[in-house]
Amino acid sequence: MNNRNQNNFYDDDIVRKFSIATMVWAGVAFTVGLLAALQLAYWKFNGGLEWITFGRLRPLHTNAAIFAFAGNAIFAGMYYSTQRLLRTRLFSDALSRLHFWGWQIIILLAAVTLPLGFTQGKEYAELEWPIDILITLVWVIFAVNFFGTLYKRREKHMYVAIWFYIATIITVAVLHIVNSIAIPFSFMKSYTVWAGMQDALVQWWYGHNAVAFFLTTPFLGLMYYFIPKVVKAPIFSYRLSIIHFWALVFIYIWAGPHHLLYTSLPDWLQTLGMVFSVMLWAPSWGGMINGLMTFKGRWSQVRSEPIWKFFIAALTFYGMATFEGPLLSIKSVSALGHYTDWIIGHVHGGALGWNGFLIFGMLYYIVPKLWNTELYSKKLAEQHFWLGLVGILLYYVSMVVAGVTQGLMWKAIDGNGMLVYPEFIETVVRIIPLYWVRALGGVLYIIGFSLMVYNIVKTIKSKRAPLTDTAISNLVNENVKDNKPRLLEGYATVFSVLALLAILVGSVIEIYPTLNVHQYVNPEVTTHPFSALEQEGRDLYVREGCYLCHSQQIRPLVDEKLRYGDPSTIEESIYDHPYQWGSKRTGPDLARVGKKYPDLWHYKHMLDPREIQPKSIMPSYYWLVEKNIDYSQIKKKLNVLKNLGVPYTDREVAYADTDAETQAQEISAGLKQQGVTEKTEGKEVVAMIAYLQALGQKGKK
Amino acid sequence: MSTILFMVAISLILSVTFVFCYLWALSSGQFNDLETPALRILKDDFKIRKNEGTTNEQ
Repeated sequence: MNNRNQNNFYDDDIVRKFSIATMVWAGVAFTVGLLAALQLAYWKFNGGLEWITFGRLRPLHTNAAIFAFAGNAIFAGMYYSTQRLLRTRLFSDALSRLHFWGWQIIILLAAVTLPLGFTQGKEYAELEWPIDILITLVWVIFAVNFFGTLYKRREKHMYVAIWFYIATIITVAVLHIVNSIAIPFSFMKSYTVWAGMQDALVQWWYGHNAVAFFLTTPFLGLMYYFIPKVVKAPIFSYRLSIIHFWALVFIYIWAGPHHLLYTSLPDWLQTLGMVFSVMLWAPSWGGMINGLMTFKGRWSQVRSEPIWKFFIAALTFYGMATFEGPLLSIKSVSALGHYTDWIIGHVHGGALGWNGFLIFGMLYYIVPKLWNTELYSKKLAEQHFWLGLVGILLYYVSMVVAGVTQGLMWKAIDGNGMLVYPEFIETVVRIIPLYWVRALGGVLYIIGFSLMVYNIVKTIKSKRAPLTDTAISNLVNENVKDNKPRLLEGYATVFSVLALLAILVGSVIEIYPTLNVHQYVNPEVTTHPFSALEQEGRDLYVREGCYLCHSQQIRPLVDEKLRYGDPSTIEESIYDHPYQWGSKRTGPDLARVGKKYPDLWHYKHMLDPREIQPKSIMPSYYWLVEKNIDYSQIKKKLNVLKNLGVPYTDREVAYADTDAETQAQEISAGLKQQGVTEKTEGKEVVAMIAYLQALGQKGKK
Repeated sequence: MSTILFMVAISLILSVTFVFCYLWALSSGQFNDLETPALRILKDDFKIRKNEGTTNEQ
């Protein structure tokens, strides 16, 4: 029995590391989220600091929540369950540690670069190219470690959780690489190779499947392992899990275009995305039912088991979110819900309810096991559950009400065919009380989480030292020697290839036709690219995260035509690297804002929006007036864009910096004439004005 | 129109593929054992106790 061979023990240490990282980053993600929520209720919560103003804070929040909090939790749960399911230690201790520290470094880099404004301007894929490369490397390390573990497994049969992990690792790799391909023009800045409509499609193929394969499939895998373990009963239906797995991975990948309904994305793609989204109802609910029914016959025990409560609530929120998702993907529902806070409510139902609660339940279960002790207080866990639940409900209800209210106000048209609320700000002011309710929901959720931190710290402190790794029982497994084929679930390689094929079908059919984007372009429409200064302004627009509150995509709907002008066309954004269509209208759409107001209006509005619109909730961008334009990069920028197919002439590239300076001087002179006393020459605000005035001026016949 | 033809062709190919996949899965016995895999994971690894002579080294 005295076997000290490390390979006969599970690597529990790495799971402990990831568990603690999960808790730490959860605190960061939640706090940053609360700060962002408060800024929407009252803009001055940015403290006058550019680094934590909403446009830069929001990517920090989403990245921290998805990749730091959920990411570390996935790795903890996957490493814990994979070893036990395959009855072997992880492939390599060194790779595990590289994976852990690499991932933490990526998160730290994100936490530094995002507030500094280094962003690719693509939601959930904001991180710039050097960090993207690092992510790829760490993901490969993770994949090698995981598939290596699969290779040396003692249990030939792969349980359903493992299938979901395989699908996760493969698909996230494909998504990340395709979406992040970019050409750098400096150490920390680059332009994506995709442009306009094409970029929109690739981005939402990525964005939607980040939800699918980072926040759904790994969590379903965890669900399939931890719920039977906690309940001490087999999963409700193994048959259902087979069908639900293959249906889910095949269908999910097609659903991305539902984020682009009524945009200038080709119609066939919109319809395809909608149809597949509706089909997703079935496999999603298959998973939920499979999880919930596992509790069958044991419901009375839920009363006394807080961990069970977390899992049941998580599955219920999963069911709600996956019911609401297809609903929102129906074009007529999207017409109302898109661009509103309804979507924010929807994703937080999923993130706080499904992901958050599943993680909390998992941590309450594994931490006592990993530290070889008992949970410090069930009562605190119980209180955590109820506080969290009330928090999510406040969040969700307030945001859905806000979204529907605002959506209906935008759409309201009176008997004369005029907008009832022509002033956008009226629709904003109406929902601000709900922004406060949402923040209150966040506070409750965080208080609940704090109870958990206290509970877990106390639990860890009560450990029976020293810590040991769990020994693997039944080291000799006849299962491996069994020559009878154990079906598909026994062959890791075949299984992985099939999973890859399943996700590639939808990806190729959707993306391939748009590679030749010009077939959708009307040849009679001439589009000219942005001038050097406008492009510089565009980069500032991306840096400040303007797209997170302002869309640039007018849908062909009556109210939008009345409010913003003609629907956006495919031609208008054909040279946009990255596209900036946006997904939320906290402020009005900007697709046709160019030439609508004089330069002075924009200048005053940037400096203090309340001077123009007293009730505005937009922060003051005073630093744009203080900082100088960096003319030194402009040539390189235009050169990269030219290589990507933007039709700049050689002259335009060669004289990009002087052209930009000339245009900037003209704007500054104009501002001076209109009575601006401050020095604006060479300041960033001038580039921003140039860009805003160019919006909607492209792609004219 | 060309898009519709493209989509119809693709859906037909996909649905036929699915039918064959399903028939293959059924005949090759993919659904033969739907009980034991779900049960097998429930068995815990036994705890090592000090008096059994294992050390706490990792």
